[in-house]
Amino acid sequence: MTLAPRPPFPGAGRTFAIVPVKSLVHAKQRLGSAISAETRRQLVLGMLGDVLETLARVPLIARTIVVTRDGEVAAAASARGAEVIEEPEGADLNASITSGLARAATEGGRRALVIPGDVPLATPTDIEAVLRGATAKGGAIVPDANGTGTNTLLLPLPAPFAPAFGPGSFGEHKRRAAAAGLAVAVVEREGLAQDIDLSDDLRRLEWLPRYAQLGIGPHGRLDAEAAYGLETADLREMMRQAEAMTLAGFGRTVTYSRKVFIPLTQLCRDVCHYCTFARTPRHGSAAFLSPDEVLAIARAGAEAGCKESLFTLGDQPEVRYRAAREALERLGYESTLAYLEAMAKLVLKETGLLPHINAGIMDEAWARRMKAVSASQGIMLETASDRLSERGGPHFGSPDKVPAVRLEAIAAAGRAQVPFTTGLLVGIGETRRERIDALLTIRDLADAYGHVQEVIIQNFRAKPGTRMANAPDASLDEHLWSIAAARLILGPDMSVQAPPNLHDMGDLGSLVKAGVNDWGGVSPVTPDHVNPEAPWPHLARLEAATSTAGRVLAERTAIAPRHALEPRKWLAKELLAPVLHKLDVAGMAREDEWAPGDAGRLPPTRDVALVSRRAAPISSPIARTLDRAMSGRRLGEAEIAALFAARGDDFSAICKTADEMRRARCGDEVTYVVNRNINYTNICTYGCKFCAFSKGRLSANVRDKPYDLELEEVAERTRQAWQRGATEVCLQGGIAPKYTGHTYLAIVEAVKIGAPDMHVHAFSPLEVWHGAETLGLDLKDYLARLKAQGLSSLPGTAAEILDDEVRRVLCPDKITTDQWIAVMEAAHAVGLKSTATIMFGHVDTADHWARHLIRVRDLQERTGGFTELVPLAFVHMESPIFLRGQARRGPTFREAVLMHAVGRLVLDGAIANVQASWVKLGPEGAAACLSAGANDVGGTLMNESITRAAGAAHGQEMVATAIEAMIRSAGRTPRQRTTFYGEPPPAQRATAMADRGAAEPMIAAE
Amino acid sequence: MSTAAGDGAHWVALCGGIGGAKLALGLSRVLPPERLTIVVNTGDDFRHFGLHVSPDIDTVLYTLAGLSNTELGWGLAGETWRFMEGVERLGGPSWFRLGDMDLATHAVRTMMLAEGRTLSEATTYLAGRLGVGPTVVPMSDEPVATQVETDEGTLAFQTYFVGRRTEPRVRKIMFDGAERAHVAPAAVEALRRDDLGGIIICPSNPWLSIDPLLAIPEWRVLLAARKAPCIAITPLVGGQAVKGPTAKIMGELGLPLDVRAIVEHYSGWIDGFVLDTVDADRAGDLALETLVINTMMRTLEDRTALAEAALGFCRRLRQRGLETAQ
Repeated sequence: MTLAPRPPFPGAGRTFAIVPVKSLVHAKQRLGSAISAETRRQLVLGMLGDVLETLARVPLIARTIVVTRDGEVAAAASARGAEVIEEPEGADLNASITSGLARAATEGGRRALVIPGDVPLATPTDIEAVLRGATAKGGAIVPDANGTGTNTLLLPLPAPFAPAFGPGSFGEHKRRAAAAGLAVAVVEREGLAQDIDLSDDLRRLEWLPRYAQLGIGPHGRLDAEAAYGLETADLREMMRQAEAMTLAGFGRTVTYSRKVFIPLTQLCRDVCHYCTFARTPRHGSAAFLSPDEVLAIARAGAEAGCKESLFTLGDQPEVRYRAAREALERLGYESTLAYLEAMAKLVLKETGLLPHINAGIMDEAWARRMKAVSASQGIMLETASDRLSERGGPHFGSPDKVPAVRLEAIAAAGRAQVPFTTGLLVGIGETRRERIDALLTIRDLADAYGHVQEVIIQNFRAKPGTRMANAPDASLDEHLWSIAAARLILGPDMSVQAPPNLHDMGDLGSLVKAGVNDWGGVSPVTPDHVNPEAPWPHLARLEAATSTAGRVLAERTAIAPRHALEPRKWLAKELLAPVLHKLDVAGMAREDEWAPGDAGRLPPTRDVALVSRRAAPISSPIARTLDRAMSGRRLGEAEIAALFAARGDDFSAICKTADEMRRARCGDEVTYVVNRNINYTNICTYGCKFCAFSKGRLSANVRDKPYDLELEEVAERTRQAWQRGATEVCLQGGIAPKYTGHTYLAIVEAVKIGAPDMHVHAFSPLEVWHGAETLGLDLKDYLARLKAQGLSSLPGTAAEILDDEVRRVLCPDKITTDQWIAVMEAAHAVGLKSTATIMFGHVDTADHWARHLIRVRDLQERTGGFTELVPLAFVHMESPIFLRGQARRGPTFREAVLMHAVGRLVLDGAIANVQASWVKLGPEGAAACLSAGANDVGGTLMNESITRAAGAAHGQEMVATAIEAMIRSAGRTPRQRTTFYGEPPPAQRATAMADRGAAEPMIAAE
Repeated sequence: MSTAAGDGAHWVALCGGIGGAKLALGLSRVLPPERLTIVVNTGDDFRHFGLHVSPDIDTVLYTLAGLSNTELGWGLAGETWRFMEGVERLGGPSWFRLGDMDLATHAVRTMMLAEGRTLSEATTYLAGRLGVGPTVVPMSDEPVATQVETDEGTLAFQTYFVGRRTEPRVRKIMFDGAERAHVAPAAVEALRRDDLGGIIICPSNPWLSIDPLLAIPEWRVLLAARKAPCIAITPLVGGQAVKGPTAKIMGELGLPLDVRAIVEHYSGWIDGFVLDTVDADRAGDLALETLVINTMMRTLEDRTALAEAALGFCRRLRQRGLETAQ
């Protein structure tokens, strides 16, 4: 790892890089015909651009020579500062390289690095490793991923032997070197081993979308004409493109939902020839599950950890069967749908499981009614072919299977803005062309209403006892073709689902490669009722199969993540709280019960283990981002946001990288400050929706009474704190109506009276803004007066999320992003340093987090006034916005850790310190963050009121010895610090270490 | 009232400008105003002198109001041109002719849009002031701009159509904004009526006047889920376009000048096709229900006769559909 500027190397100026690039016409032929010439051109130029950029960042490389015959490549190379020599007429690759070597030698080069133009994963560190790996007069060779070919060759000049790139060249190069008496070091570098031409490799495919526009049209998907061309396209090529498109849209995440299946009735008015779900009425068996039976199933599901209750049932059985009519009458409902509505409502209320309604044909009015009791709805389009409804077809006699009828039901749900699942049944007699028709129809529905949340591509399996028992199953290839076609037609953003239980486990990887990014509902309780002969694979086996395919299994809820991120648009108000309480920042399911501030729950062991595990990132974009962060590059918004989605190995790698950067920057010491929080009033005129601390003057909240400390009390508390060894008081409070700029000046004065040497860390930007405004002063003038009075630094609170999109919802009347930045800029300008905070995990998204960090970084680059980043995980329990069902339960543990790690990656070099807050995360959580980029654990606090008011139970105080024990338990060395990271006065240090905490609560007023 | 119109059903006509407006006029004469919704292409809409110009909507409104300029074939009857004279004196753009009274239409529409009204609302208002009975509704309230890719580059529709008089060779026609646009609410409502009698695609240019509408996903959804038959009236007679550049465009797109190309273009959307007596022999080649009748609308009687026949054709298709279902 290289963090410091690299020292000049004596050999610099003598090493040339030689990059041979074939003509675009012939380049990358192995990618095959499904990739258009234009795509191939973009791909080759894109990769070359990256390689040249990397070479330009290696100081040891004096010059780069590109050998090519292609005018476009030559132009692109020149534009990036490379020299271009023309590939000799009729030359093969090795002849081209030889001409490059000759040129380098005649221009005075001592060494030449032969590197292909298609290793976009290569980093400057990789290149330097090769250059340093070679002995002074020797060479170096980097094998390809198979270990048989050569991907990079370092030779002294003039070249002692002719290059022999091609299959088996690794061995051949070593032989030739030995024959020439040249010592060659073998350097294995992941980044250099990966070239892109063997495109069935997942990692390489991830680069396709980066460089090439796949397909046509605004969504990067096939237009209708091209879609029909798939009918006869080569399956392998289709899958290759589909997989790249899937990776572009969903990364490596494959989702599933933990669901319990509630078959409300198995009677159906339709008679589809392949169905085993529907039954005819039989004596002794009830037509409908009773409310008690429904609840019993749901409770068992909730017990087992399900989040979804899937209501699947037959279409309007009462129209066909008297038994159904009579049963409904006995239950007291006018129709199956009315009974379903009542049962969904019951399950939601009693268990919190989110109903997904799959009840056949519903009109718009019913879709709206069901929206109030469900998180999503669905109906399979199955087919767009009227042919299958004709005599002899599987849908003959099934009025609800007429495509136009189903189409209208899906459109009705769209008009009702219901998140909706639909899909195709493959292999019931339809043609490929008819499947393309159906996919285009689904795409129209999705475009028209935006409500299609996932498209299921289900393969027909012949079932005994049905009229199609002897019909052939849809073949695996036909299923794969259909999945790939769905992906290519529906584009990178549409969730494509295939049931995992209708194939051999060994074939699941191919479904993923064809374009699947979701396995649908997985039930731990009841067998799947539609395919009883193929029980759901056990979750662990599904996870293993997914992992074998190079993906990470992740849980979602009944509403797909993209729709879940716009809850107010897609959910009825009745569903907001039940859904939001189950979500993480990406709209996926929370996979554990941990929440910030909840002292009763330890961080999930699985995530804690991931924090300190050594792992290489599995996603190439993440790998690249980490490398860029390590070499001191500024990360962009999209890059940062992508880091927050990391799971599994990617998550571990991010933590590890942040940990290494922390060690390089701060060493192994973990600092803390002995301080006291003084929250002088909880009376506040502002209505921040998240805040449980503030009270209006007449607030009748039972938990905390309004209070306003006298200045004498502030002075007294400061004095007490000093006596217990504190070096800092941290003062913040509500904006009480009577408070003016004078109030804050008086508070500083009171502190100084209490303890003249106390560091006064006080006043959020909101208070500073308020103070300046009430006195009619310019921000800088007011801050200068505070400083003159004795103010030492500012807490960077009231930042929440520095993005007005979030602030409008979270704290509509508070200062805006620009105003917060203005206060900080002014404070830094008058010589007042501050911390920077981010309060996250409520109504925000990963994009907002990324923007926040970038804004903090930008300001720091202008002023240098921030001392540390303090991630403040949102504590939800008593927060009004949570209690109203409008916010999530804070970040998940994984997200909380990531905020510290990503904060380190983004801000390293700008802000040296990242603080883990034990008040929010608990001692165990804070300790984990110390292995993920954090180097400070904040203060001992003595009294903390604000987080506690929000419902946190991690206590008000952690004395110095307790904090040091916590730090030691994380294997690190504690060090008490002052606010500005200096050494505390020995007397204060000794007092603090002797402190065993206050015997009595230190205050009664609050 | 005729027999076909007397069944109390509601009808929807889809049309572009001049050719389509002729049949729209015929339909308006045989149907009571509350039973006809005319949906008009807005892919030709553009801004000129800062004004929102909706050429096809205006043609339909003027035609139905009996105010159209029969000499020019577009614009208002008895129009004066003082505005254009002024523009020319000032050296302004004069390639798109705006008559004085026509200018008022654009000005009032633009004012309403600037006040936050939708194009549907502005159209309803203008129709009311001009005394047009049936509901006239734009295909969408959101902008969809027809772009023509030609051998001279990609041209905005009016630049191609009026500015360059359709001379450049067409390679491809695109509809900017269509994928994000939605169907105008009154059109959704009309298509979803339980008493919908049929949908009639007027003899407009399929590529320039009807395709903008078909490029909108919600239109395709609504038409695919149609509750009543949809028919199209041929814009070709004897291999010639009745009006405008249809034939020229078909040639440039490599299509045979034959009604079959039209039927294939509408494949999946229509249940029946009306072709001219001149092309009667082509009926057997078409794989759907056909009606052969005079489609040349020279007189008002021609227009009403074709309208009556179209309604009757739809009604027969509907009847047949019901029988099949039972």
